[in-house]
Amino acid sequence: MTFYSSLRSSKLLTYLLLLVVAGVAALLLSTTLAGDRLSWRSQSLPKAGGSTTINNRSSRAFGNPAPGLTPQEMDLHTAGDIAFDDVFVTAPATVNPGLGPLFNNSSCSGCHVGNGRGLPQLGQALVRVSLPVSPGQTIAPEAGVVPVPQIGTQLRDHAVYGQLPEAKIELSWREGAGQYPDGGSYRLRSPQLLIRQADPNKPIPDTLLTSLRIPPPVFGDGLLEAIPEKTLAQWADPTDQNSDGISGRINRVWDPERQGFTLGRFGLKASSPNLRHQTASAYVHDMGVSNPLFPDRSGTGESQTPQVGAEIGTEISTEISDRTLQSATFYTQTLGVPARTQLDDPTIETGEKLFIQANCAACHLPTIKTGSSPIPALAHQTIHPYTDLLLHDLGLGLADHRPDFDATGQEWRTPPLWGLGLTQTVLPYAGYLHDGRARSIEEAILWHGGEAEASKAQFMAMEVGDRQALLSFLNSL
Amino acid sequence: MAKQLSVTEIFLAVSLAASLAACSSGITESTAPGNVAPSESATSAEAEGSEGGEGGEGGEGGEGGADPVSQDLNWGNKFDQGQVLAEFTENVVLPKYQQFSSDTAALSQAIDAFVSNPSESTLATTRQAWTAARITWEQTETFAFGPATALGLDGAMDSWPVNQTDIDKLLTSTETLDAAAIAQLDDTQRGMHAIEYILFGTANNKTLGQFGDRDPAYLQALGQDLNAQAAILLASWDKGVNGQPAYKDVFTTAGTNNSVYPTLVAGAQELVTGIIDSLTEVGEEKLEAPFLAQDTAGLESRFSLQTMNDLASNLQSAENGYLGSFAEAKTTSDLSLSDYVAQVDPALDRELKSQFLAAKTALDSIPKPLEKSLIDVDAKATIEAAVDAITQVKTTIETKLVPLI
Repeated sequence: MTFYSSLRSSKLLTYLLLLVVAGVAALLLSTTLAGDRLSWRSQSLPKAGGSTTINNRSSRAFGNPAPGLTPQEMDLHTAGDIAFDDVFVTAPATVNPGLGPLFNNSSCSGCHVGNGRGLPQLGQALVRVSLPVSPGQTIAPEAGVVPVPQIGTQLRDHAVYGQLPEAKIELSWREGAGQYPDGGSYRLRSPQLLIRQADPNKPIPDTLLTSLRIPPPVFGDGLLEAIPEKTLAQWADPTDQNSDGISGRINRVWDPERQGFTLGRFGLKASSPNLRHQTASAYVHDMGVSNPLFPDRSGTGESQTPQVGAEIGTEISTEISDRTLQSATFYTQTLGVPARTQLDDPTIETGEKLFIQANCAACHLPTIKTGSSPIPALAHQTIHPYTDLLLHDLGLGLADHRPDFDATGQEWRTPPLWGLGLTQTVLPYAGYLHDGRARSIEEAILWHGGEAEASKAQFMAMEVGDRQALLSFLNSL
Repeated sequence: MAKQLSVTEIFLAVSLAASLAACSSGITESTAPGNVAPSESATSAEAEGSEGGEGGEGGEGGEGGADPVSQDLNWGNKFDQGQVLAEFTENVVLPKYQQFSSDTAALSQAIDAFVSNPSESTLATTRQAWTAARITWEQTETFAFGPATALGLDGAMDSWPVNQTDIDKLLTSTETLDAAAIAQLDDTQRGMHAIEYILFGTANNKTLGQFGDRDPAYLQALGQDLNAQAAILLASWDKGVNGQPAYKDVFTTAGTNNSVYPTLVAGAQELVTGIIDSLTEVGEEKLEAPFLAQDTAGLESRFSLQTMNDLASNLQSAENGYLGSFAEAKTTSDLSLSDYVAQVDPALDRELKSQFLAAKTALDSIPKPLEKSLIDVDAKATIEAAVDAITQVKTTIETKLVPLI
């Protein structure tokens, strides 16, 4: 049990006393109302990122190095900061050659604005694609999906001069109205994609499966990476054995460096095993920049399937060096997590209780303990990310109908909610959910379905004041 | 989620038990370990007592030998002068964006005059217009938050480096070159640095005879595109665009039922970290890093040999943020950040003013152009002195001003 292991390193006296009173406390809890249980809780959650927490509620809140990095680590972080901002251009060039030839954007920070989200517009948002599995067809282990011939698994809608993008994509929004039980009204919008062929050699199949995604925030990811696999496995309940309507599944994904399947943790469907893979994948897929994990320089078509293996460890010339990949990865591992704001506001405290009462915390887990980490500042931290990193069925309303490794077309990985209230401080006009369709946190809640249907229903049934309190709590994260 | 629930239950039990234990044994858990940043203990001291065990864990961050260096800033959480944000917006942000919009209009007109009558004189005028717009733009650095980034305007106007390869191909193609076409290009083929490339060459060395057949059309379209973006930026702050509220109203209502800046402190952090980031950008990123690498290719306005203008303007932007006004402005601020500091700690205000002046003087002492002095041993001492002076202002703000906010 991770909590015990952490306490072992804490004060012995506390631990001994704890043992004595733990049984009593558990008894108390079983009979205590949730509200009473939580009266102390908000005051106990300010350090969202443990000792890597940052006190900053400005547009720069996601851009600070985690406190506690060593001088050497700080140098690597700074190098990664520069790499993250580097804008790539077409080779040959004096500075930052290697863009494309096909790409979605030309820099990391061009999509992850201020290390947060990108806007739900093409160039920042992108479209993942694949084909349905035909009867008898097997999926290549490293791909996780059936790639589109000549295109791969992602539509690059930009190209360097003289090359054709893989598609022309138009994004529009369809809006509809809804009503709360108390008569209050709301409007929700959903994206409509129009995808047209742009290259005569790259037909767009009629059976194309698509998934529009906005770039997610990148701070605090090193802490999520340091959560032990064992911990995630404990939370998983793939067959819903406790019949609470909530399953929670682990995605099993391909790790090209290990050449085998492993637990998926990053990406909107947890299809990436670790931050090094996630970063390398973004370089090659989003910017067309080859790197030690994805060394193919062509940046076209089938090259989107990882082609590593034999080449790992050998001298290969890629458009960024392993040092750059390492520093950019380290940067995403070591950005501090902003502390919550307005902890003393009673409305926010009420909202937090309602969040628990509506069972939102069944998936958006408030408190997790990290395990060991090669980065000491990230090790054994009590953090408050509000995620379980597991896959959940969110219903048809949010479904992209595009499976990815073990994730179904209705499943999404629970996104962390830390820093949620800073979303539009860091990026005004930003949207929420995987494709940015929700224009507010309220709309994001209203889109929840599937395993979250009951929680949404509870939210909708609340009095308007309680709904506002819950939203105020979320905005304080 | 059967197991998850049981873990939660156990955590609740453990936490509650630990807090009971802490209370009964008189342990307050409010003492942060030595390697945790000062503000950690400051902001969470009152809350730590109930989270058994956590207060002691930060110590593990120290494993691995070297002492940690990265620290959080020690915000005082006491700023209460909303007028500072309003005055800064009214007296610095809006006038500077207004000026930038006028400058880009003047640049576009100068380009048109140059194109219709190419001469040494019209070329010189156009280059001066570019320089003027560039200086104003770099003076907006301190308030680059909000629409400048979110609307993609920063990228569209100030992307760097320029994609020379693609621009050269575009210029030898037969593709349409008008403002509408330019707006569809990737950011690295438009904006101030693309104009700089066409207007100055790669080292302020382009002669009239070297302008190609399609350079004029490209320049004109770039000028119109830049001016259009500048107008959107001004409108986004002043009136609001795309049905969104004016950003001046978002920023200046910090702390008043405002979901973007729920507290006044958050608004003040935006201003102060804007100043700090400008100083970091000048001192560390634009001066020290290329100096240590002895690499002039990393100097942003090297095509016009005017990188020093960028640096001086960024530094001025930081000072403007502190003073809540700027020298050319007809208005002065009634309540600036400087005034606020002077109320609380007059000596600190004097110290900061004198350090800003020293930094500007030191930066100005570096021989121009920086593109040459960066790698000139005779200029080495002046560069090091400027880096030090800029770092000093930044350090004073981080260690003495931040605790007042």
